[in-house]
Amino acid sequence: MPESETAKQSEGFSELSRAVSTFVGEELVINFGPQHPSMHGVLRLIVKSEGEIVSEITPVIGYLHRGMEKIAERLNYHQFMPYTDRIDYLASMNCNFAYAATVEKLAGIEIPKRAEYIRVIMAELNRIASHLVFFGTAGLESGAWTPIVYAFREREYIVDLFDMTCGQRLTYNYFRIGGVADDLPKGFMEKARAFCDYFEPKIKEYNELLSYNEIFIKRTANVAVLPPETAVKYSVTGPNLRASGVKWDLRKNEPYSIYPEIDFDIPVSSGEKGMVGDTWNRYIIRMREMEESVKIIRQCLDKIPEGDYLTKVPRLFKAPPGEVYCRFENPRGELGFYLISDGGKSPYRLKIRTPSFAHLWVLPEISTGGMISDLIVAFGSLDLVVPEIDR
Amino acid sequence: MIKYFKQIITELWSILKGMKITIKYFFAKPTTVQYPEERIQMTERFRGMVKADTDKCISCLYCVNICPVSCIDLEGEKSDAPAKVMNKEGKAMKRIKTVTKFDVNIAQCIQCGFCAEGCPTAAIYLSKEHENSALSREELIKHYAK
Ligand code: SF4
Ligand code: SF4
Repeated sequence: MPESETAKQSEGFSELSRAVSTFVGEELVINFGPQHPSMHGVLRLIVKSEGEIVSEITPVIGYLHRGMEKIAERLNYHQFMPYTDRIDYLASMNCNFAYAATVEKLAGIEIPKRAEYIRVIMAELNRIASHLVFFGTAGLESGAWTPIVYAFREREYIVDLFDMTCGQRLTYNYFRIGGVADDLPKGFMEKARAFCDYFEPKIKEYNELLSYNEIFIKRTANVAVLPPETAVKYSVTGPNLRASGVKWDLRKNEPYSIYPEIDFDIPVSSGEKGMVGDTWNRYIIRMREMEESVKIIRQCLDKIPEGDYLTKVPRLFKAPPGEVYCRFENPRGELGFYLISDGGKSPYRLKIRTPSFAHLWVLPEISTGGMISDLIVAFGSLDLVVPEIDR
Repeated sequence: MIKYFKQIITELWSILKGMKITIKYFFAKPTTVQYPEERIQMTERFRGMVKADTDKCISCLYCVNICPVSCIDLEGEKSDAPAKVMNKEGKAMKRIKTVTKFDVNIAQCIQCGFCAEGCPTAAIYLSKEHENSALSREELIKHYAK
């Protein structure tokens, strides 16, 4: 190479590096969302970055606000049930469960034992379905396209079970105040058992496919670590909290329904592949929870008694004046209903405490200082559902 | 250096392990159906589009009041010759009113099934129909009154 050309080239390089350094010095503002392929729903993140490093994240919420709490005040107690489906559309059964049980507690309604079992079976099936979506999207976010196909294949079996029980595939509206809308259909028990047998080996397959894949571990271990103190400070609950090593599950700590009669474990992460509370731990905890859910469903199917499935509650029943707060372990964390009644036929005030809302605010805490590509992985690992944030 | 190659080998090995699973399913029977050529049967309890049989309706307005989104518009008129209809339990009921207007806005309906659940004569029901897209909003308001 002639000397003049080398000189020219080196000059070009220095020019480039100068441009890069001015670029790095400048902050770049990126808008993630509201419509973005890696956003689960309509949420906007204003991300300030220096090069590849995230320096500030500001979540902007409210795009899916439907004013549910206000709507509750104009409907009677029964009529609000379909709205709870839409709080967290990935776990409608669990939201139904929480609302129905809250109203029952306020009004002092006893529900039949069979209904309790049906409720828990449905809630746990829905927990698996919800975690399967998480598993699929966790793959997508780290660049693996296969898991989501398998996740939805398995989820379809659960959705079929729901479809035969209540006639819908997404917004079930199956629970009623006083029990459930209809008895289990013929053939449900066999199908549910067959699903458990089919699904258990699949979890092992997932572990081989994604969980213990070296590249996936490299991509997620030690990324976006959420220390237990921060988690508690931000009222993080559910699997995200347990991934940070805090053993807190309302099904065990504040048992409701028939959970005390059932034998199951609460998986807590111990920092197997990286630090406690990292993205990989948040992922694996859900895989283990699915195993536990299968265990719960099996026991419920064995123990379910015969009998009524619904205590009749009048259509325009009036709850006695008073207030009650009930919280429940949803797939994403603690879902709470704070219900105040003034003795009328609709709630005086219904406050809904959703887990995703609390989880969103730890995202800036755990992702600033990391890479932009890690932000997406961390965001996915928190398992946020946007309608739940906004209500 | 050895560590570096070791890492590559373990990573390749875990990819191969994943590949084994994907290849297994690659040769398995597909689990999807080719809609719309192939269709799956709707379940017995499937909640599709709301329909009404106005001959059975006694204009009790139960459905109108229970509907959470108020998408049913119903008007009845006192009839001179009360007809007899069967209720859900198979008992005969007098139909004093005839329906003159029975509109359901299926764009608003959330297919919760409350109306059908409480209708004394099963006049309003949720059909198996689920392909209800239309080109205008007017088409989405279904008129069931005769
Ligand atoms: S299914 Fe629900 S929303 Fe639709 S008309 Fe009946 S009560 Fe109203
Ligand atoms: S509930 Fe049934 S009978 Fe009563 S008004 Fe509605 S459709 Fe008619």
